[in-house]
Order: sequence, then C-alpha cells, then structure tokens
Amino acid sequence: MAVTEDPWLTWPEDFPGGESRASRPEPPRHWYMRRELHLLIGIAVAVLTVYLAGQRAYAGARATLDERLVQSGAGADAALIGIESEQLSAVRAVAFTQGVGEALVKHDGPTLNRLVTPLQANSTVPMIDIVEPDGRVVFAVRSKGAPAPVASRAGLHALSQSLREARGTRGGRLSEIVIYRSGPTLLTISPIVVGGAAVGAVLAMSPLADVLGRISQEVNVELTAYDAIGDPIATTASFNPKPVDSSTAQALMGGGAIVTRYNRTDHREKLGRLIVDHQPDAVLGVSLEDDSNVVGRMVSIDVAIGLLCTALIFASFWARVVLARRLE
Amino acid sequence: MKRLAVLAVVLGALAAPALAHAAAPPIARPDPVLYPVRLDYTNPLPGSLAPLAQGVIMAFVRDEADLAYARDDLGGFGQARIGVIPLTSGGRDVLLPGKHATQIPLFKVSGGGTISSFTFTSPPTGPTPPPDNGSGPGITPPPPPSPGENVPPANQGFGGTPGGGSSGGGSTTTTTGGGGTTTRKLPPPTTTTAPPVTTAPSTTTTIAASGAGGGGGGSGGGGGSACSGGSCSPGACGTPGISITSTIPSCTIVFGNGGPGDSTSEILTITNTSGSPYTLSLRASGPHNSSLWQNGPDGLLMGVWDVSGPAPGSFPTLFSWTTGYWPLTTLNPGQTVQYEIELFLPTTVGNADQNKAAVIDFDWMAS
Repeated sequence: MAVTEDPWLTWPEDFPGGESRASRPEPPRHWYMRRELHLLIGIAVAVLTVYLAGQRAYAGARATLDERLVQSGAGADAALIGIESEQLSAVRAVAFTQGVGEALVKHDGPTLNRLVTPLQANSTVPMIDIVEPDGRVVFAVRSKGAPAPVASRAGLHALSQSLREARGTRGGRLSEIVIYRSGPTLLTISPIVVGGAAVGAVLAMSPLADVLGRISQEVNVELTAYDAIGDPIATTASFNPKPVDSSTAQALMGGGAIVTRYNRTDHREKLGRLIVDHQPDAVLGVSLEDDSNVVGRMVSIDVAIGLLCTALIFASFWARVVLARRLE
Repeated sequence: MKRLAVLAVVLGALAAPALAHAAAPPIARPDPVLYPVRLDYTNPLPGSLAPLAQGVIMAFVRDEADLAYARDDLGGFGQARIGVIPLTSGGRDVLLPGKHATQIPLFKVSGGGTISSFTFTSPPTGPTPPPDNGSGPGITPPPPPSPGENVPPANQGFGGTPGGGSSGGGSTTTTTGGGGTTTRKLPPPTTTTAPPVTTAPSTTTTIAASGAGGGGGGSGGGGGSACSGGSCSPGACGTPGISITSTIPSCTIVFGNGGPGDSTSEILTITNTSGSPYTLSLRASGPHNSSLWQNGPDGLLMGVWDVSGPAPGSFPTLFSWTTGYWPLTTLNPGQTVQYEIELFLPTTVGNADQNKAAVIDFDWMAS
C-alpha cells in the first residue's frame, strides 16, 4: 500500500496518472461476496435480534407477573388467617362473657343486647348471631350495610358439629365458608356452654366478598372465590369471572398444583385454594392484567430503533467517505 | 516514617466503616416465635369475661372514624382514599343474592346508626320462614370442617411449588389422606437455622418379635422368622410378613436446611403378607446423640397416623416413640393400611438445634 500524505489516496486510480478503475478488468466475484447477500444477512440478524429481545422481555415480564400472583395468593391465604383470628376472638368473647348463656336460655333479648352488642361493636366482625341448638336465632347484631338477619339457621352443618364437639379439645370452635341466601359468608362458630351443656352457639360472620375486598387491598390483586365445582361466588374484579372447569376445581380442592389461565382475555389468573380452618374451602383465583406482551412489544420497538440508528450512523460514515473520495 | 504515617492513615480509613458498623445498634428482626398469627381453636379463655359497658360502642365508632385515611397513610406506596376506612371492602357477590328483609324485629340501633340489634321481644307470629343454612337449591356447599376434635393439619393454598418441588418460598410436602388430599404449607425460612434431619430408610426397619399368630418375621435383626402363610414377600422396604412401600424412593426421608415449623413426611403402605392377623406396632430408635432426641422443647416431634382419618392435633416427641413399641392397628392377612409419618420441628426450637442431624430407624413389630 502506498503511504501518502493524503489518507484517502490509497487506490491506484487515486494517484495522478493512475489507471482508471473502468479500464481495469473486474475481479471475479464470489456469491458470498455479493453486497445483496450481506445486506440480507444484516437485515435477518437485525430482525432476529429485535424478535428475540422482545420475546425475552415478554417472558421476563410474564415470569415476574406469575411470581407476583403466586406470592399474592399466598399472602391472601395468610391474610385470611388474620380475619379468621378476629372472628375467633369475637366468638370467644361472646361465649365467655358472664350472663350470655343464661340470657340465651331465658330468651332474654334485651339482656343479650346489653351483653353482646358492645362486644360486636368492639370487634371488626359485621354480623353476630346467637342461636339455640335447634337453629332458632334469638339475637342478632349487624353493622351498617351487613345482610339482614334471618330467623333460623336450622340445618347448618357447622352448628350441629359445634354443639356436638363442644366438650372436645377444640371446644367446638370452627370456621368455614357457608353460602347463605345473602351470599357466601365466612363463618366462625362457638358453642355457648352453661353448666357443662351447650345451650346454643354464637356465630360470627363476614360476607366473603367483603373479606376478599379487604384482603385485596392488602395484596393488591384481584381475588375471586369459586365454589367446589368452579362457579364464581365472590370477586373483587370489575368483571364477572368465567367459571373454572369443574374437574380442575375439584383437582385444586383436592390439593392439585396451581393452575394458570386467562380470565377475560388479558387477565392472567393463578388458581389455588382458599384455606379456612386449615383446609381448602374454595378455589381462590388471583389475577392481574397481563401487560407482558406490551412490554415485549415496547422492547422490540426500542431495539429496532436502536439498530436503525446504529445502521444510520454507519451509513452516514460510509456516505461521508464516499463523498470525500468523489470530491477528491 | 512518612510511609508509616501514610500506611496508618490508609488503614484507619479502611477500618472506619467497619468500626462504625460495629458500633451501630443491632437491627431488630422479627421473632419467629411471636410474630405469626396463630389460630387458637383449642384453648378457652382463662375464666369468663365481665360484660363490656355500652360506652364501648361509641368509643368504637369514634376509633373507627379515626382509622379512616386522613392523608398519605399508604406511605407513598399508593394513593390513600381520604376518608375511607382501610378495612372497607371492594368485593362483591357474583351470585347476585340481592337484599333480603330482616326476619327478626329490629330491637335497637346504637352507635349513631352503625350497629343494629335484632331480637324477638314477643313470641314470633306468622309462618316460620325457611332456615338459611347454606344448603339451599343450586348451592354447592364448600367442604365442611374436619370432623373430630383435632385441629386439622396445616394446608397449602398457594405456598411453595406445586408437586412438591422447591422454590424460593420453601419446599412443600404433599400428603394424601382418605378421599381427599391435604397439602401442608411450610412456613417461610426464619432467622433460626434448622437441623438437617435424616431418617433411616425403611429398609432398616426391623421386626422385633413375631407373635403367636405367625406375624411377620424380621430380616433386619429384630424379630423372628416365622411366617406361617401367605406370600411372605417383602415390599419395597419391608420384610417377610410385612410389606412396606413408601411414597419416597428408597424409603428414606431426608429433611435438611429446614427452619422452625418445617416438617417432612412419608406415607407408608403396609400390607400383612403373612397368613395370620397381627398387631402392628412401631418404635423409633437411634443414637439419641443430639437435642433433637430430647423430650423437651427443642426435641423433634413425630406424628404417625392412619391417612384415612385426620392428623392428630399435636404430635408427641420423637423421644416418646423410642420408649417402646406403640401399637398402631391390627392387620388381617392381606389387609393394607396407609400410615403417614411426619417429622416436625417445633416453631419454638432455638439455636441448640442448629446443624444437628438425626438418623432414625423405624422398627416395626408384628405380635
């Protein structure tokens, strides 16, 4: 290579009197040296880069969402224990307050009001019923907005079980979800014992929808409870969730692995169990809007813009070189 | 001299952060014994309570009003809705139950209208309305609470990885019982480390004695060899007369890197392959070489129960299983029973259990 003072005069035709390029024979060009091929490969690599970057971002965003949903589901079940504990505290307070049992035996509504209403007010439980062993509701307290009381809870499974186990180690206290006519309800029950005999029971209840709403504020996801065959019974979502397949719901209730699905097109939902009193009482759906595709798309656009800008910078350098040669 | 001075300055500068750190007060950490919410279905209140005064109602109303969001009460993590009480619900019923009129007369309204009391002051008249007990038409009732007086085993709602794998949230153990499956959620890791515990494989289980009925014989060193009938074929980890198969390969429970409150379990399917009925008993044995074996608060707990029934409410210590053979059931020839064995590290264990190991042999006896 000739060394000159002008860095651009590197080709024979650049020198005065040099052989012109047109007069020289064209060197043989192999297919792999074709400019079109290089351009094509460059474009293919760029497209692949954009696609893969988008896919990577999409998968990462979705994995993060999935992790958050699972953590929120666990958090929701943990938060439910707190509410269960509040209800237990309320039923214990009523069942162990002096005079409640005697007033229940005497059907003394005013005395029950004097004894129980302050306890209900002092708790966060919106509904308390005092019932006789046959299910007749002798007294009820309701916070503002809570479902109205009914006259009888006869046939309530938890009532008979509570009375039957009143003298057991758990003292007949238990919790479960009951689907009343007023809606699904988280129920905690305790027998009221006088002289060693159960004379009735106290029921502390919270509408399940309110429970989910409260928990939803803690874990910041949409929560939906489905019954044992997969029908939605309460939700915090603004839309009506679609039912869970019956076999899937039953598998989940039986301890199956967490299921993922899309609810209402873009709401990604993890399905697990709603645990009450240590056992699955309903299927719990935890969902959030899935924006991972948007993230992937945005990253693809960003990468495409970046590649385009890089190509433009190289092109401008190339154009400058060519222009400088021509000017010489 | 100059170099020494420079060296001293440099060393002083390097040591300063460490010294400052050492001087800082210790950072408070949650106490794993105290912070978890514990559901107490078992213990009654110590004595009865005196009635609360009616004044508590207005106090509640005022306190609740004070709890409403007044400013940025979400600490910058979100927009608090001013005036809204944090416990206010955002949920709704999908079943659209509608409003129902009260079936009990309103007795009194207290707390400025926030609380209503309902009771009959005179005998009810008119037709008795149908009870609302959660079993109406078109309703699929949730599973009832576990029967019996024992607290049902802990359960897994969302925790852990499905299928018993492991994740950052801790490993999970799935136990199957009776008609349904119960899963157990292990608590998150705590600051107190846990001992790795290894139980001996059931291949080391022994039959210590054979009964008059010709129950199992032992190949593991403990029992007789009489087998008067049946196939006398050993199971995956059994011996002639007692077929034992485990849900865990090689019949070995390995429990390591757990924390207080962690547990692990194994389900054994036991079949009487002898020709005679016998009483099946179990004893745990081992070297008693660590605090895990102690009959105290730091001791490992071990529960054994027939999976067709509920788990016991509380587990005895591992030590108590070493004191003798504990009869489990009577098995007729060909009869099969499934037992779950669970090892549980109490939530109250202290650092004495750190880095401890226990190798436990299960000795089965047919008598």
